[in-house]
Amino acid sequence: MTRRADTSVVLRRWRGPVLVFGPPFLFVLAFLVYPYLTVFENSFYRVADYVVVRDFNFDNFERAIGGELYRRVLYVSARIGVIVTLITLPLAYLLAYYAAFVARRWRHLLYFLVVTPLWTSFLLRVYVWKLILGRTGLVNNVLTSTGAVDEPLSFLIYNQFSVCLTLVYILLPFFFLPIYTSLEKIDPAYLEASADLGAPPLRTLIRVIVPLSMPGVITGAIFTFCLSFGDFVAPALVGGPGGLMVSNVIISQFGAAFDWPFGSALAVLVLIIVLAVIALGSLAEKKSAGAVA
Amino acid sequence: MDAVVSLAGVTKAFGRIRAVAGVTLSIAEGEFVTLLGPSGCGKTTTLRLISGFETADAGDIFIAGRRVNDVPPYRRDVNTVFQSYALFPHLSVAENVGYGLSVKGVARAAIRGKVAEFLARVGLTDKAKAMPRQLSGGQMQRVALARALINEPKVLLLDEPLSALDAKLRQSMQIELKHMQRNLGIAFIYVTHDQEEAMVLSDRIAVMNEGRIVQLGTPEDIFERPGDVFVAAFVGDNNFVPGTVARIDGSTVEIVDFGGTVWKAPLTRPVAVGRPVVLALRPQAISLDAGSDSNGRGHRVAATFRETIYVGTTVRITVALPGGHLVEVQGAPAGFRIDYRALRPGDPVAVGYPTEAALVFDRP
Ligand SMILES: Nc1ncnc2c1ncn2[C@@H]1O[C@H](COP(=O)(O)OP(=O)(O)OP(=O)(O)O)[C@@H](O)[C@H]1O
Ligand SMILES: [Mg+2]
Repeated sequence: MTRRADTSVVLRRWRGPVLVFGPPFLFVLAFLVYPYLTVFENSFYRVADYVVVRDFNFDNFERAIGGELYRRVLYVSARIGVIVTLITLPLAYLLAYYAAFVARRWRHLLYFLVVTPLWTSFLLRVYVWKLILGRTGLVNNVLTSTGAVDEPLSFLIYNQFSVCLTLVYILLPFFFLPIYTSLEKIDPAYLEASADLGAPPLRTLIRVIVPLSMPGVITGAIFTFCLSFGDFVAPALVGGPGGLMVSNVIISQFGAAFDWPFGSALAVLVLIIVLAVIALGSLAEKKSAGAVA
Repeated sequence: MDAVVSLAGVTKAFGRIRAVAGVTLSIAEGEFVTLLGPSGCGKTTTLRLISGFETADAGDIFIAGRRVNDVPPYRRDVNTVFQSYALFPHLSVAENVGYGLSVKGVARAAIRGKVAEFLARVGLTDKAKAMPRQLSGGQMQRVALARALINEPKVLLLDEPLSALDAKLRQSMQIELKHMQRNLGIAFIYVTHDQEEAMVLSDRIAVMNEGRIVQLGTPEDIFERPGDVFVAAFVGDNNFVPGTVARIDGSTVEIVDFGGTVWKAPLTRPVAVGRPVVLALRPQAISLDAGSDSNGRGHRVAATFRETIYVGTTVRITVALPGGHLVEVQGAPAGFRIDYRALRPGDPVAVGYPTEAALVFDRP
């Protein structure tokens, strides 16, 4: 008697949450957790005669970390991630600052202009840089037709420079948005209090605005680093041999090289690095947000 | 000229709204001046014109004799205590208090000493390392005060600094503010729409309405000699009886209200017979007698009892005049000459008042 009542109470209490959160939970399980587990599992196997052999070993990781070639690709990818983050930061910050504090009537238009590119194809936006930087691209056409140079410049594309340039362009909105959001949340009374206490605008920027926008900066930096570190479209289209990044290597392991276990091991390493960056970032964010809230 | 702040014909409009419409005001060194007025009358805008967060459309603003119309806020020798306190959330209490000195490049050791001194002044020495979000409203208020005063400004601007506090804390903070202001000798310009607070604190009160200063004077001036009906109504309670001047007899004016009741008031400024006027009478100035009793002092008019409201320290009694107009009488429970508890609605009573207590204004 009481037990049946208990069961129905439990049913009633859980029916709502299960109906609401069940489907997304299943989705994540099926399309995120399961594939990652598969990748993780595969990274400990090996390939013999184009067949994955379920033979538990650490060779893939040894090869990835120990091998000069792969360590270098990881290093180059991380370095590109850092460089892109460091270049995008001031651009995104200035833009967000302008939108939040200076633009006034234009702020919504500006916001719209920064975010609109996200609606067009990622591939297309990268491809555009091929048309700009290429041997017969916009820049070289202008330079040769005006006689500024005799030969088309070759250092514009197919190297780390072009990869960084493209990624900065692609990732600017991802850095801009969190910074803008945190700047917009700053109570103007703080800025007035700072001025009232004798701080000129630049001082107020350094002592009040920047610290209060740190959570947004950290979030944006995490986005930008992780997205550029793991990108494969930009290096594939404008990277050339010198601009190769770790995702391209992983893809080739799953494709042409047909070494799924080794590709999986590289993917696991990338995941570990990304998770470490996110963990560090969230820690820093929590600290600065704690100070801000 | 030893005015620390003076405004001359200062005007500021937002679109079609004239927030400040020709304000002229001069504040002496060490003076406590309050801007008092209803919501939207331009008090905050006046303060912001002085601190530099708004620029005047017309008129001149002087701080310590220097015209500052074009001087940015960070170069004006004034400080503000904001209504919302605006303590920097990412800085500790001590860092908040030291902010002004620090941005002016004062040496660290000197800042530390001064911060300790001002935290002690507001009684928050033990909270130096706390973050603003860990403080109570009253404590935040004190930090905001210390943060402003540490800069030793010529004048401190305070925009309803106590409005977020509960009644008890508010009263003790009022006293503290007043003492602090006297000890430091800094001029305060204080904004409030609470007339009692203005009375308690101020050397002078500027009553504002619709962007103008309608009366400027000591609390006694404002309370006892209000310049017009608006001030009489805004500062303290008042009964207003509209009527017409019927007779002028030496130094006394006789006014007949719409119900035919005759009132008397002192002749304080020239009025002509037949002029439409309003008679103002404070509820506290009126006494109540039984209808038949005729040996009360001052002028007496007949009325009927309506109701009694007991408020503890005082009793408020409403009576109706023959014309139906209601008049409120207020006094200490023990101060009434009749037993007000025995009154029933409709009982005849006599309203008496000393003639000097009545004021006559032009009917607006
Ligand atoms: N930035 C602004 N933009 C447009 N109108 C404004 C602005 N600031 C003030 N006003 C208007 O100016 C008038 C005076 O405002 P102000 O804030 O000075 O009033 P106040 O006396 O401080 O009122 P309160 O007691 O409610 O704080 C109001 O009508 C207000 O709506
Ligand atoms: Mg205000």
